[in-house]
Amino acid sequence: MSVIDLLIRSLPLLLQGALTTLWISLLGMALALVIGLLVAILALSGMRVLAWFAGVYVSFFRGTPLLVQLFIIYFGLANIIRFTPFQAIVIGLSLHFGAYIAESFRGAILSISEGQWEAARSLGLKPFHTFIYVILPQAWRRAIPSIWNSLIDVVKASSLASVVTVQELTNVADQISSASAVVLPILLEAAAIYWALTTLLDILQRYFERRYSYSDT
Amino acid sequence: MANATQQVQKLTRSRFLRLFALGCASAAVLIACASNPTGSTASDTATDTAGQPLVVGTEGTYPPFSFRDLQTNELAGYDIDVAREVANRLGRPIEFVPTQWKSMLASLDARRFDFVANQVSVTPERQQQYAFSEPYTVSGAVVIVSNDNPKQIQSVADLNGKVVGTTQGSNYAAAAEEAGAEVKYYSGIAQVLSDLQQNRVDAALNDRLYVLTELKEANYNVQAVGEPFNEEVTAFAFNQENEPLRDEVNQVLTEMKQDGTLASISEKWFGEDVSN
Repeated sequence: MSVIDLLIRSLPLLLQGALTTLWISLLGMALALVIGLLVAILALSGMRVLAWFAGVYVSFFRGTPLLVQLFIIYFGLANIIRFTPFQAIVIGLSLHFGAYIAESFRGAILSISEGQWEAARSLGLKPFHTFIYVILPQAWRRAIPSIWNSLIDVVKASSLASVVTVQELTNVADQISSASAVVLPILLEAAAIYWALTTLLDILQRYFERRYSYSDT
Repeated sequence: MANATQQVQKLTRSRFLRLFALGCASAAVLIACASNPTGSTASDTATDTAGQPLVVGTEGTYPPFSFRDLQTNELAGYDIDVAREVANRLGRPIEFVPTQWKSMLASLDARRFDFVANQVSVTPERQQQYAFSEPYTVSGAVVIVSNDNPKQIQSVADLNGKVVGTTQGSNYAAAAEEAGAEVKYYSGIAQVLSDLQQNRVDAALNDRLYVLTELKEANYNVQAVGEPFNEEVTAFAFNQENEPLRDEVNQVLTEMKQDGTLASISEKWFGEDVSN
């Protein structure tokens, strides 16, 4: 079988793996965004215990390898709670990248001038409405570039799902390359699929940046 | 003055954030408490009923023992066939879980598999940690070099001071270190051979049977040198708590040896009987 034939024949298998990668990534990204925002709020709450919790959380999940975290979640906790491989990788990705995104949100929220809070208050807005309608949209806009770094990383890091036996893109590529003894072309094919997925994210980033590109200074 | 303004500012921003954070924290605690009873479904030990599938860990990247057949997209290979026949005789369905070697034994520790079918060599260290079935393969390690073989390696004795590629956690690493080599680890044998062709490592160690079959068919620019060494037997590996299942598997393995089934599976993959 020529290499070209193999690349064509392996495409459906790889795409099947890519579908799993896509699901893992979408769930991981969504949960990481939620966790990130909540942890940022805890960190800024001004309450010592909550801020301390947020600090420890960020420090641990940003400061240890995702691979190790996955082993802890999937194997280490197995006696207490048995996550399926899919659950383990989604939890791992959201906790890990939630820590990065928390820092992006925290920085962005802090960067919105206090004057905005005061102005909103003087207009009679309740704090909740101030946060939702005034602060968060501006902070979100400023956080987009750094948050998108993390989101793209989620897609790529989802390849670690293979160590917890999820049949995702990299895992499938490994199996095809060892069955066929053709390594680099198959990996390049898989890389092209990853690139396509992250390009979709790039497009989404540009859309968000356009949508929120009003002047706020 | 500045201090006073700051005070006011802090109050404006943090009043909301404080309430919100408190809300989140208490919600999280509530959810954690509520989900605890359903969340902790610890594995029941030894509830093997006839209908339950045997869950078997295997790399799926190790031809001809365990690999994905690209025609059928099913796992195939010698170990796969032997495990299937075992399950068949035990009257249980079988489910293979393709797993990288580095998480294979951890999965066994965590009882995520019933056993591992992946040419697991029986070593004294492993015997302390795991329960092994009767062996179903007898083989040995062999030295693989690239065709140009720039370091002139002819046998395992020549590995002293050389760089040897091997797969993570495999017991070839120990053999290489014994010979005085520096060991480099890869995630699979395909990556080892790929680097060997480019002389990024001086040699690789692998199973004689792998070399017998795959190396001839595959288009790697590498060759085996010297005689096989370190006779090895491989067997299914079980968690030590799972000895009852191990004993059941041993019974059918013995039957398969006696009635020639094991030998004929071996003939199919290697053209000779490698099972004893």
